[in-house]
Amino acid sequence: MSIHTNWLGEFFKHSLLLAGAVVVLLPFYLMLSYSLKSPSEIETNTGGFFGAQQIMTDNRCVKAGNPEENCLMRPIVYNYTAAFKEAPLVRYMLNGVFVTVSIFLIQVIIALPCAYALSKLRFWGRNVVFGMVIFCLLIPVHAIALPLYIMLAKVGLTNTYAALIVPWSISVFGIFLMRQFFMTVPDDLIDAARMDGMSEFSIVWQVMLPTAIPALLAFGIFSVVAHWNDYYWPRVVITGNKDLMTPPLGLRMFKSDMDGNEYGPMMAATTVIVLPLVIVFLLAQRRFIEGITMTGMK
Amino acid sequence: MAGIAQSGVTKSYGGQSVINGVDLDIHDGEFLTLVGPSGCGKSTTLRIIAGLETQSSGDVSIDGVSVNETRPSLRDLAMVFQSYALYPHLTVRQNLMTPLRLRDLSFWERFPLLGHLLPSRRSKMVQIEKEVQIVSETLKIEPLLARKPGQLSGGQRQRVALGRAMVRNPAAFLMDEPLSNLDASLRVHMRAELSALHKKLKTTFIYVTHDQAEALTMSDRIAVMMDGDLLQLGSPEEVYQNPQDIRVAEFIGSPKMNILPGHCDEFGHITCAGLSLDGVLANPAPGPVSVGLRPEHLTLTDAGAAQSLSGKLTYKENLGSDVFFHVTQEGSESAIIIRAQPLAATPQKPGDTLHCAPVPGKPLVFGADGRRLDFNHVASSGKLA
Amino acid sequence: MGRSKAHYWFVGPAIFLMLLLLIAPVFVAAALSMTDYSLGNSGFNWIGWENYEKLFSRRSYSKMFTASLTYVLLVVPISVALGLGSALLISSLRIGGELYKAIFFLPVMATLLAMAIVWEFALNPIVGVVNDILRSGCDKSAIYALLSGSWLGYDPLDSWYGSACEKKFPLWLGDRQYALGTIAFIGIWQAFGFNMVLYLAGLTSVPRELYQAAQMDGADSAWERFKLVTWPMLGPTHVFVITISSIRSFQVFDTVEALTEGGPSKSTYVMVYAMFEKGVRQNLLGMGSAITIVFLIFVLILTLVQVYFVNRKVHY
Repeated sequence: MSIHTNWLGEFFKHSLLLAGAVVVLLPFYLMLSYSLKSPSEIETNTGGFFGAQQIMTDNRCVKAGNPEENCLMRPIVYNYTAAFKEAPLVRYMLNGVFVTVSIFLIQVIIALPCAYALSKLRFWGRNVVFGMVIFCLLIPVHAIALPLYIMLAKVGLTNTYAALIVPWSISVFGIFLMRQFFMTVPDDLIDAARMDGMSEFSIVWQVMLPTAIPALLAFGIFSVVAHWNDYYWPRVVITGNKDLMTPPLGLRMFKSDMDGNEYGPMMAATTVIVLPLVIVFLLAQRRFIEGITMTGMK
Repeated sequence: MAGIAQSGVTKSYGGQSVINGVDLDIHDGEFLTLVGPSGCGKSTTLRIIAGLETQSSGDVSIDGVSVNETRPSLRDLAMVFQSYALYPHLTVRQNLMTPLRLRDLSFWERFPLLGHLLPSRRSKMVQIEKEVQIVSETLKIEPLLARKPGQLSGGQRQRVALGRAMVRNPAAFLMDEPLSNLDASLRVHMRAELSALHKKLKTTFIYVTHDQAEALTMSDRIAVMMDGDLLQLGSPEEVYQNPQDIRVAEFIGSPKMNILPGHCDEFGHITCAGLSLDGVLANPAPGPVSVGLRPEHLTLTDAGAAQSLSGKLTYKENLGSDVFFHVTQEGSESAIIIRAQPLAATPQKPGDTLHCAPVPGKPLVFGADGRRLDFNHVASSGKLA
Repeated sequence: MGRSKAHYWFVGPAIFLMLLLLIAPVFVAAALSMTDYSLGNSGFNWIGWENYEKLFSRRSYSKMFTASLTYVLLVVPISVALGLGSALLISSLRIGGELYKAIFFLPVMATLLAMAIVWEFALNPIVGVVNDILRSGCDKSAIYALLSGSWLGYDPLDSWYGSACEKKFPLWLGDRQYALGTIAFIGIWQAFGFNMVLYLAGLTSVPRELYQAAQMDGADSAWERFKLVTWPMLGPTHVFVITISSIRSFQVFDTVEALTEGGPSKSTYVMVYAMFEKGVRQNLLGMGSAITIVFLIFVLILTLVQVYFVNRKVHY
């Protein structure tokens, strides 16, 4: 706005923002750094970012009865191999992928046709259904957790993938978002498809779906991130079967299983869990931020 | 009261030049319109005068004093925006008071709650409210003072925006397409009101529009801009009758001037569309030229008259007060438009062949580069027309 | 519109699932809250309002309300202010805005549970980085003087920093006085990036011409323009951000469960954690449901307040 750039002002703004950035990035820095360091370095907070990477002795391996020469390795190797040995991290990640993708797919299958019907078809009770959707938007997810847990326990479905996925299959948020989006699609497009002889079913998947890709992308990002990071529901519903744990839950189990002092492997496990989403985010930040904002505003 | 001058102003955004060296000399108290198609740089020029944008090079001065370094609020100019830009959260009265509050009250006097305790504030507020009252009476917006912009119609908002500008008694009013968001009948009405306001206030008005009719009807002088260049600056009559560039000729006047491709021989004789013009170019340059003829400068003649154009009538536009014939010649894509009186126009129907001849002295000749060429009209009798 | 019955198929599954998975559970929770049901029992008793009476009388539950409300009152104002501040700063930068945006948004994306564990370690009283840094200032006279107030003439041992240097720095998560504040800090760390992004969107929706009009009217400084244009035009965004922040902070769970388990002495015994502890861990589903219903009411009130404000105040 001003006629000339105020360099002093810019400097001041950047200083403030940099200070904030330091605080924001601190845990990420620590997480990565500790995952590379030896136990002594961790306890004393020395060694810079990468740690000195001096050969160390794996005490547990020694305790397990192996000769000392076989138990020497660099800290980074120790941390990461211990992490993967102590917990099935790969399994957790795969669970995460499986669960989030399944949830999203089912959500789309249920929500898209419903949104189409609510926005483009006229039928008796349409307003009632839409009213239901709005009403359900008000229900916070934690409020229904306990009853759902009981219902699942009664049918013996706790500790299953179904328990992780099915409760999320209905996304009223997705219905609402898609409906708002579909309202902006011209009716003529649909009428033309009908004239061409397309069934309503085909219209949904062959006409509406392609036009909804931007909204779907935003919704997808929102859904995948939310469910990948979700801790509460898996914690309620998975009680002991490690094979089914999602990444956050798996990490939590790792933390409680682990000895109090194994910070290195703990941080290594944390890094492995956090890194995928962060990398995807950094690659596609604009999309992410747009997606979360758009869904948030709606 | 101020004369505003701008010399050598250029503006470019990231390598793209939007204004290429424009000189403007605006007389004190005149109504000057910057007119041109969208994207020609007229709004940018206006904003540079206002100080909302900085020119890449060149100077802007008010009353001979350079204002390049002065910020907008200190240039004593007021602006009416295309979208009106009224503060949506304030009432009309508060909108009108804002410029005066910011100018006359100090920071502490404006402080919420505590500011009311300062004694100096009282007298200033009385003065401010008086000014607001005067302006709202002039513009007849008194009944609207307690409402918010969201509750007003387009025309009412426009007047409030004007009021906010007037309340400051500025040296000049800058208006950026203020009428373009109104519907047609309201627009015509507001044109008259704005002109009346200008005569009453006698302040300089710098007006930007893409509507050439507004420019012609309201202005003392018109500046025609296209693609960042100032093509012509002159009174409406001059710009209309004597365009210096073919682009000006085509832009000003509705319906558009007919442009006929023609040819100039080495003696300066011009032929076009089967017509050969009476007269010679002052500086003959053999080659292609364009001949411009306004619809009202072509009259219907009988077949076989000397010096006539002919073609087939493709479309008859009957506007009630005038009739415009669209005549297409063999091998030509575009139609020639001829204005005719309703009475004379009745017998003709589409498909007929029509003949017309130019009114003597009216054809305009433009060179291949678009610039107007000096053409000396000579009547068929040999005398200068 | 044809006579096809397709809409039944389209809407049917959604309706069924909404009823089954969203609406029915609310009623089940309401009903259960009046019982003493536990999973595995064959029957249960209707005990009427007993659970609710306990909720509003027992000390542990009053701690729950205190913890939840304190947390919300700490996190919402601070994360909203930080979100607004960073949005304003970033939108006025000439370069680097995108970078800061990405950095500040990172905590929102990263798995909270994981990052909470890292924070826990950083806040470890003995080996953690935070106390290390604080302690290192004790020896450096300039910093010590500054932070303990001795440069202003106060007795350093009276100040927080001074006495902490003498004795010891707080246990943070293990300390009854600091635990909730620490959890709140982590919550703010995670949430403000989201608010920032919402404010950035709100800022870009302010019409540029309004700022120009303000400039012409004499609002010369950035502060004047902020008062006249930015702040009022952000009205709807304010309502939205505050509501979303409040609802999300009511739902805090991950950090509490992983780091403090509601302690020490229930100082971080927030509602959702209480729901979990009572309902799942202790299998007292009646009580858990009662807490659920109270929680639901709080969230509903917040949402309705938002709707009210959006319709009333923000009517342009």
